[in-house]
Amino acid sequence: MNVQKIIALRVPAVSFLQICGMKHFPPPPTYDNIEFPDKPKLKFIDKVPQLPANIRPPKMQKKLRLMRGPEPVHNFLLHKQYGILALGGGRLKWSHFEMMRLTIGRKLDTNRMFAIWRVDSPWQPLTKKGQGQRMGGGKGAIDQYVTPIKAGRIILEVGGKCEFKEVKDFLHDVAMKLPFKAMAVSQEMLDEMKRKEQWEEENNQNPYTMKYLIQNNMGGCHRWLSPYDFKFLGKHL
Amino acid sequence: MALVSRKALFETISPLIQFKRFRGKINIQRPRPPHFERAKYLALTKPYFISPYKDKKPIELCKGVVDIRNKRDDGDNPFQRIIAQELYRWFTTSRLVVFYHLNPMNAEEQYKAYVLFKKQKMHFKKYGKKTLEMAVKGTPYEAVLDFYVSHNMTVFSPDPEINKMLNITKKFPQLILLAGIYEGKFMSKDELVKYSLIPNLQAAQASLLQTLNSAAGQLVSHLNSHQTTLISHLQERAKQLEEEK
Repeated sequence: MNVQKIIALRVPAVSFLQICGMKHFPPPPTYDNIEFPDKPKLKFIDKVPQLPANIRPPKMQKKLRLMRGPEPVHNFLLHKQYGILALGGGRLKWSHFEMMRLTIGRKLDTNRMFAIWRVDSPWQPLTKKGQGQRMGGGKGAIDQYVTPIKAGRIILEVGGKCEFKEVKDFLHDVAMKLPFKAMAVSQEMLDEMKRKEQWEEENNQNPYTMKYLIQNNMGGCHRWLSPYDFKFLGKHL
Repeated sequence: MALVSRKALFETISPLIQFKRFRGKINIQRPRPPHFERAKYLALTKPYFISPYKDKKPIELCKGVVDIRNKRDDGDNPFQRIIAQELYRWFTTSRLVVFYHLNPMNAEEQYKAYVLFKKQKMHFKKYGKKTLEMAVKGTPYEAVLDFYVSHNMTVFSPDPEINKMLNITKKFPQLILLAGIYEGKFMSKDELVKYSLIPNLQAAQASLLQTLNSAAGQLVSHLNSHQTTLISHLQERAKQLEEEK
Protein backbone atom coordinates (compact mmCIF):
# COMPACT_ATOMS: atom_id res chain seq x y z
CA MET A 1 0.00 0.00 0.00
CA ASN A 2 2.81 2.35 0.93
CA VAL A 3 4.64 1.59 -2.33
CA GLN A 4 1.52 2.53 -4.30
CA LYS A 5 1.27 5.81 -2.43
CA ILE A 6 4.88 6.64 -3.16
CA ILE A 7 4.41 5.91 -6.85
CA ALA A 8 1.32 8.11 -6.95
CA LEU A 9 3.19 10.99 -5.32
CA ARG A 10 6.12 10.74 -7.72
CA VAL A 11 6.58 13.93 -9.71
CA PRO A 12 7.66 13.62 -13.35
CA ALA A 13 11.28 14.65 -13.77
CA VAL A 14 11.62 17.85 -15.73
CA SER A 15 14.78 19.73 -16.62
CA PHE A 16 14.93 23.15 -18.22
CA LEU A 17 17.74 24.65 -20.24
CA GLN A 18 17.41 28.30 -21.13
CA ILE A 19 18.79 29.17 -24.52
CA CYS A 20 18.63 32.52 -26.23
CA GLY A 21 18.74 32.15 -29.98
CA MET A 22 18.75 34.65 -32.79
CA LYS A 23 15.17 35.38 -33.77
CA HIS A 24 14.17 34.59 -37.32
CA PHE A 25 10.83 35.65 -38.68
CA PRO A 26 10.61 34.51 -42.28
CA PRO A 27 8.18 36.40 -44.51
CA PRO A 28 4.68 34.90 -44.86
CA PRO A 29 3.98 32.87 -48.00
CA THR A 30 2.85 34.85 -51.03
CA TYR A 31 0.26 33.28 -53.26
CA ASP A 32 1.26 35.17 -56.41
CA ASN A 33 1.03 32.24 -58.83
CA ILE A 34 -2.65 31.47 -58.12
CA GLU A 35 -5.13 32.14 -60.90
CA PHE A 36 -8.58 33.13 -59.74
CA PRO A 37 -11.68 32.07 -61.73
CA ASP A 38 -14.27 34.65 -62.82
CA LYS A 39 -16.69 34.00 -59.98
CA PRO A 40 -15.37 33.01 -56.56
CA LYS A 41 -18.49 31.20 -55.34
CA LEU A 42 -19.87 27.85 -56.51
CA LYS A 43 -22.29 28.25 -59.37
CA PHE A 44 -25.92 27.18 -59.07
CA ILE A 45 -26.57 23.57 -60.02
CA ASP A 46 -29.74 22.66 -61.91
CA LYS A 47 -32.10 20.19 -60.39
CA VAL A 48 -33.03 18.78 -63.80
CA PRO A 49 -30.71 18.70 -66.81
CA GLN A 50 -31.62 20.84 -69.78
CA LEU A 51 -33.09 18.81 -72.65
CA PRO A 52 -34.38 19.94 -76.05
CA ALA A 53 -38.10 20.68 -75.72
CA ASN A 54 -39.31 18.04 -78.14
CA ILE A 55 -37.61 15.11 -76.32
CA ARG A 56 -39.39 13.18 -73.61
CA PRO A 57 -37.06 12.87 -70.63
CA PRO A 58 -35.53 9.40 -70.98
CA LYS A 59 -35.48 6.88 -68.13
CA MET A 60 -32.25 5.08 -67.42
CA GLN A 61 -30.95 1.84 -65.97
CA LYS A 62 -29.79 1.79 -62.39
CA LYS A 63 -26.08 1.36 -63.41
CA LEU A 64 -24.66 0.74 -59.94
CA ARG A 65 -21.33 0.10 -61.63
CA LEU A 66 -20.96 3.87 -61.95
CA MET A 67 -20.49 3.96 -58.17
CA ARG A 68 -18.26 0.91 -57.80
CA GLY A 69 -14.49 0.84 -57.87
CA PRO A 70 -11.88 3.60 -57.77
CA GLU A 71 -12.11 6.90 -59.62
CA PRO A 72 -9.58 6.80 -62.47
CA VAL A 73 -9.86 10.38 -63.81
CA HIS A 74 -10.96 13.07 -61.35
CA ASN A 75 -8.79 12.01 -58.43
CA PHE A 76 -6.39 14.95 -58.15
CA LEU A 77 -6.68 18.65 -57.27
CA LEU A 78 -6.55 20.98 -60.27
CA HIS A 79 -5.44 24.04 -58.29
CA LYS A 80 -3.27 21.89 -55.99
CA GLN A 81 -4.69 23.47 -52.85
CA TYR A 82 -7.66 22.14 -50.87
CA GLY A 83 -10.78 20.12 -51.57
CA ILE A 84 -13.14 17.36 -50.52
CA LEU A 85 -12.22 13.77 -51.34
CA ALA A 86 -14.83 11.01 -51.51
CA LEU A 87 -13.66 7.89 -49.68
CA GLY A 88 -16.57 5.75 -50.74
CA GLY A 89 -19.00 5.48 -53.66
CA GLY A 90 -22.44 7.05 -53.70
CA ARG A 91 -24.90 9.39 -55.39
CA LEU A 92 -25.15 13.14 -55.06
CA LYS A 93 -28.67 14.56 -55.17
CA TRP A 94 -29.65 18.15 -55.86
CA SER A 95 -30.18 18.73 -52.14
CA HIS A 96 -26.57 17.77 -51.48
CA PHE A 97 -25.44 20.21 -54.13
CA GLU A 98 -27.48 23.00 -52.56
CA MET A 99 -26.12 22.21 -49.12
CA MET A 100 -22.54 22.37 -50.40
CA ARG A 101 -23.12 25.54 -52.42
CA LEU A 102 -24.78 27.44 -49.59
CA THR A 103 -22.46 26.30 -46.77
CA ILE A 104 -19.32 27.11 -48.69
CA GLY A 105 -20.82 30.33 -50.04
CA ARG A 106 -21.42 31.48 -46.48
CA LYS A 107 -17.96 30.57 -45.18
CA LEU A 108 -15.89 31.70 -48.17
CA ASP A 109 -14.02 35.02 -48.01
CA THR A 110 -14.69 36.14 -51.60
CA ASN A 111 -11.84 38.65 -51.61
CA ARG A 112 -9.15 36.02 -51.38
CA MET A 113 -10.74 32.57 -51.74
CA PHE A 114 -12.66 30.76 -54.46
CA ALA A 115 -14.37 27.42 -54.92
CA ILE A 116 -15.09 25.27 -57.98
CA TRP A 117 -17.18 22.18 -58.68
CA ARG A 118 -15.39 19.02 -59.73
CA VAL A 119 -18.54 16.96 -60.36
CA ASP A 120 -21.24 17.19 -63.04
CA SER A 121 -24.68 18.49 -62.27
CA PRO A 122 -27.21 15.68 -61.75
CA TRP A 123 -27.78 13.79 -65.00
CA GLN A 124 -28.75 10.23 -64.10
CA PRO A 125 -32.55 9.88 -63.82
CA LEU A 126 -33.81 7.83 -60.87
CA THR A 127 -37.31 6.47 -61.14
CA LYS A 128 -39.70 5.73 -58.32
CA LYS A 129 -43.10 4.12 -58.24
CA GLY A 130 -45.82 5.80 -56.25
CA GLN A 131 -46.26 4.95 -52.58
CA GLY A 132 -48.21 1.74 -52.06
CA GLN A 133 -48.04 0.74 -55.74
CA ARG A 134 -47.92 -2.97 -56.43
CA MET A 135 -45.28 -4.55 -58.62
CA GLY A 136 -45.84 -4.36 -62.37
CA GLY A 137 -47.37 -1.70 -64.58
CA GLY A 138 -44.12 -0.62 -66.16
CA LYS A 139 -41.15 1.34 -64.87
CA GLY A 140 -41.86 4.14 -62.45
CA ALA A 141 -41.76 7.84 -63.26
CA ILE A 142 -38.59 9.90 -62.96
CA ASP A 143 -38.35 11.06 -59.37
CA GLN A 144 -35.03 12.91 -59.33
CA TYR A 145 -31.67 13.24 -61.00
CA VAL A 146 -28.40 12.26 -59.33
CA THR A 147 -24.66 12.20 -60.01
CA PRO A 148 -22.93 8.88 -59.32
CA ILE A 149 -19.60 9.19 -57.48
CA LYS A 150 -16.81 6.66 -57.25
CA ALA A 151 -14.39 6.32 -54.34
CA GLY A 152 -11.38 8.63 -54.64
CA ARG A 153 -13.21 11.39 -56.51
CA ILE A 154 -12.68 15.07 -55.76
CA ILE A 155 -16.09 16.65 -55.21
CA LEU A 156 -15.11 20.29 -55.03
CA GLU A 157 -12.01 22.43 -54.67
CA VAL A 158 -11.35 25.50 -52.61
CA GLY A 159 -8.36 27.71 -53.31
CA GLY A 160 -6.95 31.19 -53.09
CA LYS A 161 -4.77 33.12 -50.69
CA CYS A 162 -5.52 30.95 -47.69
CA GLU A 163 -4.06 28.14 -45.61
CA PHE A 164 -5.53 24.72 -44.98
CA LYS A 165 -6.29 25.59 -41.36
CA GLU A 166 -8.72 28.26 -42.49
CA VAL A 167 -10.75 26.05 -44.84
CA LYS A 168 -10.46 22.74 -43.00
CA ASP A 169 -13.35 23.41 -40.64
CA PHE A 170 -16.10 24.17 -43.11
CA LEU A 171 -14.84 21.60 -45.62
CA HIS A 172 -15.03 18.96 -42.92
CA ASP A 173 -18.55 20.05 -42.01
CA VAL A 174 -19.62 19.67 -45.63
CA ALA A 175 -17.82 16.33 -45.98
CA MET A 176 -19.67 14.91 -42.99
CA LYS A 177 -23.04 15.78 -44.51
CA LEU A 178 -22.41 13.96 -47.78
CA PRO A 179 -24.11 10.56 -48.33
CA PHE A 180 -20.77 8.73 -48.56
CA LYS A 181 -17.59 8.82 -46.50
CA ALA A 182 -15.60 11.94 -47.39
CA MET A 183 -12.78 14.06 -45.98
CA ALA A 184 -11.28 17.51 -46.38
CA VAL A 185 -7.86 17.27 -48.04
CA SER A 186 -4.96 19.46 -49.08
CA GLN A 187 -2.37 18.75 -51.75
CA GLU A 188 0.19 17.85 -49.06
CA MET A 189 -2.21 15.34 -47.55
CA LEU A 190 -2.82 13.71 -50.91
CA ASP A 191 0.92 13.45 -51.57
CA GLU A 192 1.44 11.99 -48.12
CA MET A 193 -1.34 9.39 -48.69
CA LYS A 194 0.19 8.35 -52.01
CA ARG A 195 3.65 8.12 -50.51
CA LYS A 196 2.34 6.05 -47.58
CA GLU A 197 0.47 3.71 -49.92
CA GLN A 198 3.59 3.16 -51.97
CA TRP A 199 5.69 2.55 -48.86
CA GLU A 200 3.16 0.05 -47.52
CA GLU A 201 3.12 -1.78 -50.83
CA GLU A 202 6.89 -2.04 -50.86
CA ASN A 203 7.41 -2.90 -47.19
CA ASN A 204 4.58 -5.34 -46.65
CA GLN A 205 6.02 -8.40 -44.89
CA ASN A 206 2.96 -10.52 -45.64
CA PRO A 207 3.80 -12.69 -48.68
CA TYR A 208 0.09 -13.20 -49.31
CA THR A 209 -1.82 -10.35 -50.89
CA MET A 210 -5.33 -10.41 -52.32
CA LYS A 211 -3.82 -9.83 -55.75
CA TYR A 212 -1.63 -12.92 -55.41
CA LEU A 213 -4.42 -15.11 -54.09
CA ILE A 214 -6.87 -13.98 -56.77
CA GLN A 215 -4.47 -14.25 -59.68
CA ASN A 216 -3.34 -17.72 -58.65
CA ASN A 217 -6.80 -19.04 -57.73
CA MET A 218 -5.50 -20.05 -54.34
CA GLY A 219 -7.96 -22.07 -52.31
CA GLY A 220 -10.25 -22.19 -55.31
CA CYS A 221 -11.36 -18.63 -54.67
CA HIS A 222 -12.40 -18.19 -58.30
CA ARG A 223 -15.54 -20.13 -57.31
CA TRP A 224 -16.91 -17.30 -55.25
CA LEU A 225 -15.11 -14.17 -56.44
CA SER A 226 -17.21 -11.56 -58.19
CA PRO A 227 -16.11 -10.10 -61.56
CA TYR A 228 -15.37 -6.88 -59.72
CA ASP A 229 -12.82 -8.68 -57.55
CA PHE A 230 -10.86 -9.57 -60.65
CA LYS A 231 -10.87 -5.88 -61.60
CA PHE A 232 -10.31 -4.28 -58.22
CA LEU A 233 -8.41 -7.18 -56.58
CA GLY A 234 -10.21 -6.98 -53.27
CA LYS A 235 -9.47 -3.30 -52.65
CA HIS A 236 -12.91 -1.97 -53.55
CA LEU A 237 -16.34 -3.58 -53.18
CA MET B 1 -18.77 -44.98 -75.10
CA ALA B 2 -16.09 -46.36 -72.86
CA LEU B 3 -14.28 -43.05 -73.15
CA VAL B 4 -17.09 -41.22 -71.37
CA SER B 5 -15.95 -40.94 -67.78
CA ARG B 6 -17.81 -42.61 -64.94
CA LYS B 7 -17.87 -39.28 -63.09
CA ALA B 8 -19.86 -37.57 -65.86
CA LEU B 9 -22.47 -40.35 -66.00
CA PHE B 10 -22.98 -41.34 -62.40
CA GLU B 11 -21.93 -38.41 -60.18
CA THR B 12 -24.22 -35.40 -60.21
CA ILE B 13 -23.99 -32.06 -58.44
CA SER B 14 -26.90 -31.60 -56.06
CA PRO B 15 -28.80 -28.45 -57.03
CA LEU B 16 -30.51 -28.25 -53.64
CA ILE B 17 -27.62 -26.58 -51.90
CA GLN B 18 -26.03 -23.81 -53.89
CA PHE B 19 -23.95 -21.17 -52.06
CA LYS B 20 -24.03 -17.72 -53.55
CA ARG B 21 -21.12 -15.65 -52.27
CA PHE B 22 -21.38 -12.54 -54.30
CA ARG B 23 -24.34 -10.42 -55.29
CA GLY B 24 -24.43 -8.31 -58.45
CA LYS B 25 -26.50 -5.58 -56.82
CA ILE B 26 -24.70 -4.26 -53.76
CA ASN B 27 -25.38 -1.32 -51.47
CA ILE B 28 -22.22 0.73 -51.88
CA GLN B 29 -23.05 3.11 -49.03
CA ARG B 30 -23.89 0.37 -46.52
CA PRO B 31 -21.65 -2.55 -47.47
CA ARG B 32 -22.55 -6.02 -46.27
CA PRO B 33 -20.10 -7.76 -43.92
CA PRO B 34 -18.07 -10.25 -45.96
CA HIS B 35 -18.85 -13.95 -46.13
CA PHE B 36 -16.72 -16.21 -43.91
CA GLU B 37 -14.61 -17.42 -46.84
CA ARG B 38 -13.92 -13.90 -47.99
CA ALA B 39 -13.28 -12.77 -44.44
CA LYS B 40 -10.73 -15.58 -44.11
CA TYR B 41 -8.92 -14.37 -47.20
CA LEU B 42 -9.00 -10.76 -46.03
CA ALA B 43 -7.63 -11.74 -42.62
CA LEU B 44 -4.86 -13.77 -44.24
CA THR B 45 -3.82 -10.97 -46.57
CA LYS B 46 -3.85 -8.22 -43.95
CA PRO B 47 -0.53 -6.37 -44.37
CA TYR B 48 2.02 -6.25 -41.56
CA PHE B 49 5.34 -4.42 -41.37
CA ILE B 50 8.62 -4.61 -39.47
CA SER B 51 8.11 -2.66 -36.27
CA PRO B 52 10.01 0.65 -36.11
CA TYR B 53 10.87 -0.30 -32.51
CA LYS B 54 12.82 -3.38 -33.54
CA ASP B 55 16.55 -3.57 -32.66
CA LYS B 56 16.46 -0.24 -30.86
CA LYS B 57 18.26 0.48 -27.62
CA PRO B 58 16.14 1.55 -24.66
CA ILE B 59 17.52 5.10 -24.89
CA GLU B 60 16.28 5.38 -28.47
CA LEU B 61 12.88 4.01 -27.48
CA CYS B 62 12.49 6.47 -24.62
CA LYS B 63 10.10 9.17 -25.80
CA GLY B 64 10.86 11.54 -22.93
CA VAL B 65 14.35 12.32 -24.16
CA VAL B 66 14.44 15.47 -26.26
CA ASP B 67 17.84 16.39 -27.65
CA ILE B 68 17.86 20.12 -28.31
CA ARG B 69 20.92 19.75 -30.47
CA ASN B 70 18.80 17.93 -33.02
CA LYS B 71 16.23 20.68 -33.19
CA ARG B 72 15.23 21.93 -36.62
CA ASP B 73 17.34 24.39 -38.50
CA ASP B 74 15.39 27.40 -39.73
CA GLY B 75 17.68 27.89 -42.70
CA ASP B 76 19.44 31.08 -43.67
CA ASN B 77 18.76 33.94 -41.28
CA PRO B 78 19.62 37.22 -43.08
CA PHE B 79 19.99 39.10 -39.81
CA GLN B 80 22.40 36.50 -38.49
CA ARG B 81 24.36 36.77 -41.71
CA ILE B 82 24.72 40.53 -41.23
CA ILE B 83 25.89 40.03 -37.65
CA ALA B 84 28.39 37.42 -38.87
CA GLN B 85 29.82 39.85 -41.44
CA GLU B 86 30.18 42.50 -38.75
CA LEU B 87 31.92 39.95 -36.53
CA TYR B 88 34.41 39.09 -39.25
CA ARG B 89 35.18 42.79 -39.67
CA TRP B 90 35.92 42.97 -35.92
CA PHE B 91 38.27 40.01 -36.28
CA THR B 92 40.23 41.58 -39.11
CA THR B 93 40.42 45.14 -37.73
CA SER B 94 41.30 44.44 -34.07
CA ARG B 95 44.90 43.86 -32.97
CA LEU B 96 43.86 42.07 -29.80
CA VAL B 97 41.03 39.53 -29.60
CA VAL B 98 40.39 37.72 -26.31
CA PHE B 99 38.11 34.71 -25.70
CA TYR B 100 36.47 34.07 -22.35
CA HIS B 101 34.32 31.31 -20.96
CA LEU B 102 31.33 32.89 -19.23
CA ASN B 103 30.28 31.39 -15.92
CA PRO B 104 26.82 32.42 -14.77
CA MET B 105 26.96 36.18 -14.33
CA ASN B 106 24.40 38.78 -13.38
CA ALA B 107 23.33 41.10 -16.14
CA GLU B 108 24.30 43.91 -13.79
CA GLU B 109 27.83 42.56 -13.46
CA GLN B 110 27.99 41.97 -17.19
CA TYR B 111 27.03 45.59 -17.78
CA LYS B 112 29.74 46.77 -15.38
CA ALA B 113 32.30 44.76 -17.32
CA TYR B 114 30.91 46.15 -20.57
CA VAL B 115 31.32 49.70 -19.26
CA LEU B 116 34.91 49.12 -18.09
CA PHE B 117 35.85 47.61 -21.43
CA LYS B 118 34.10 50.38 -23.31
CA LYS B 119 36.13 52.98 -21.44
CA GLN B 120 39.26 51.30 -22.84
CA LYS B 121 37.65 51.33 -26.32
CA MET B 122 37.25 47.54 -26.24
CA HIS B 123 34.23 45.74 -27.73
CA PHE B 124 32.85 43.23 -25.16
CA LYS B 125 30.18 40.97 -26.65
CA LYS B 126 28.53 37.57 -26.52
CA TYR B 127 28.33 35.63 -29.81
CA GLY B 128 26.78 32.22 -30.47
CA LYS B 129 28.42 29.31 -32.19
CA LYS B 130 26.19 29.49 -35.24
CA THR B 131 27.02 33.15 -35.88
CA LEU B 132 30.72 32.37 -35.40
CA GLU B 133 30.50 29.51 -37.85
CA MET B 134 28.92 31.78 -40.44
CA ALA B 135 31.59 34.43 -39.92
CA VAL B 136 34.71 32.38 -39.56
CA LYS B 137 34.35 29.12 -41.50
CA GLY B 138 36.77 28.96 -44.39
CA THR B 139 38.86 31.84 -43.05
CA PRO B 140 42.19 31.64 -41.17
CA TYR B 141 40.25 32.20 -37.91
CA GLU B 142 38.46 28.84 -38.13
CA ALA B 143 40.39 27.39 -35.16
CA VAL B 144 38.56 29.80 -32.88
CA LEU B 145 35.36 27.74 -33.16
CA ASP B 146 36.75 25.22 -30.67
CA PHE B 147 36.29 27.72 -27.85
CA TYR B 148 32.60 28.22 -28.50
CA VAL B 149 31.18 25.46 -26.37
CA SER B 150 28.69 26.54 -23.71
CA HIS B 151 28.56 30.26 -22.91
CA ASN B 152 31.28 32.57 -24.22
CA MET B 153 32.29 36.23 -24.29
CA THR B 154 34.65 37.92 -26.71
CA VAL B 155 36.63 41.16 -26.44
CA PHE B 156 37.88 42.95 -29.54
CA SER B 157 40.43 45.75 -29.08
CA PRO B 158 41.82 47.89 -31.92
CA ASP B 159 44.85 48.72 -29.69
CA PRO B 160 46.97 45.87 -28.29
CA GLU B 161 46.50 46.77 -24.58
CA ILE B 162 47.01 43.49 -22.77
CA ASN B 163 47.65 45.03 -19.35
CA LYS B 164 44.40 46.97 -19.25
CA MET B 165 42.47 43.95 -20.45
CA LEU B 166 43.99 41.74 -17.76
CA ASN B 167 43.24 44.32 -15.07
CA ILE B 168 39.57 44.42 -16.00
CA THR B 169 39.43 40.60 -16.21
CA LYS B 170 40.80 40.30 -12.65
CA LYS B 171 37.78 42.22 -11.33
CA PHE B 172 35.29 39.67 -12.68
CA PRO B 173 35.88 36.07 -11.51
CA GLN B 174 33.10 34.76 -13.76
CA LEU B 175 35.07 35.71 -16.87
CA ILE B 176 37.56 32.90 -17.44
CA LEU B 177 40.26 33.84 -19.91
CA LEU B 178 40.86 31.05 -22.41
CA ALA B 179 43.14 32.45 -25.09
CA GLY B 180 43.58 35.36 -27.45
CA ILE B 181 44.84 36.61 -30.76
CA TYR B 182 47.61 39.22 -30.34
CA GLU B 183 48.83 41.01 -33.47
CA GLY B 184 47.56 38.17 -35.63
CA LYS B 185 49.21 35.46 -33.51
CA PHE B 186 47.23 32.87 -31.55
CA MET B 187 48.23 32.97 -27.86
CA SER B 188 47.35 30.92 -24.80
CA LYS B 189 46.53 32.56 -21.50
CA ASP B 190 50.07 32.08 -20.09
CA GLU B 191 51.66 33.64 -23.17
CA LEU B 192 49.36 36.64 -22.86
CA VAL B 193 50.35 37.09 -19.23
CA LYS B 194 54.03 36.82 -20.19
CA TYR B 195 53.60 39.45 -22.89
CA SER B 196 51.85 41.73 -20.42
CA LEU B 197 54.93 41.68 -18.14
CA ILE B 198 57.16 43.02 -20.92
CA PRO B 199 57.70 46.79 -20.33
CA ASN B 200 57.07 49.35 -23.04
CA LEU B 201 59.48 50.04 -25.87
CA GLN B 202 61.30 53.02 -24.31
CA ALA B 203 61.93 51.18 -21.05
CA ALA B 204 63.15 48.15 -23.01
CA GLN B 205 65.46 50.36 -25.05
CA ALA B 206 66.77 52.00 -21.88
CA SER B 207 67.47 48.64 -20.24
CA LEU B 208 69.21 47.43 -23.43
CA LEU B 209 71.36 50.55 -23.41
CA GLN B 210 72.19 49.95 -19.76
CA THR B 211 73.24 46.33 -20.49
CA LEU B 212 75.42 47.45 -23.38
CA ASN B 213 77.05 50.15 -21.32
CA SER B 214 77.52 48.00 -18.24
CA ALA B 215 80.70 46.21 -19.49
CA ALA B 216 82.51 49.42 -20.47
CA GLY B 217 81.38 51.18 -17.28
CA GLN B 218 82.62 48.31 -15.14
CA LEU B 219 86.06 48.43 -16.83
CA VAL B 220 86.34 52.19 -16.25
CA SER B 221 85.41 51.85 -12.58
CA HIS B 222 87.99 49.05 -12.09
CA LEU B 223 90.75 51.20 -13.68
CA ASN B 224 89.87 54.19 -11.51
CA SER B 225 89.38 52.18 -8.32
CA HIS B 226 92.73 53.06 -6.67
CA GLN B 227 92.32 56.79 -7.41
CA THR B 228 88.79 56.85 -6.10
CA THR B 229 89.69 55.02 -2.89
CA LEU B 230 92.65 57.43 -2.33
CA ILE B 231 90.36 60.44 -2.92
CA SER B 232 87.79 59.13 -0.49
CA HIS B 233 90.42 58.44 2.22
CA LEU B 234 91.88 61.98 1.76
CA GLN B 235 88.38 63.50 2.01
CA GLU B 236 87.75 61.66 5.25
CA ARG B 237 91.13 62.75 6.68
CA ALA B 238 90.39 66.37 5.73
CA LYS B 239 87.03 66.16 7.52
CA GLN B 240 88.70 64.59 10.60
CA LEU B 241 91.30 67.45 10.76
CA GLU B 242 88.53 70.10 10.51
CA GLU B 243 86.60 68.48 13.36
CA GLU B 244 89.72 68.42 15.55
CA LYS B 245 90.14 72.18 14.96
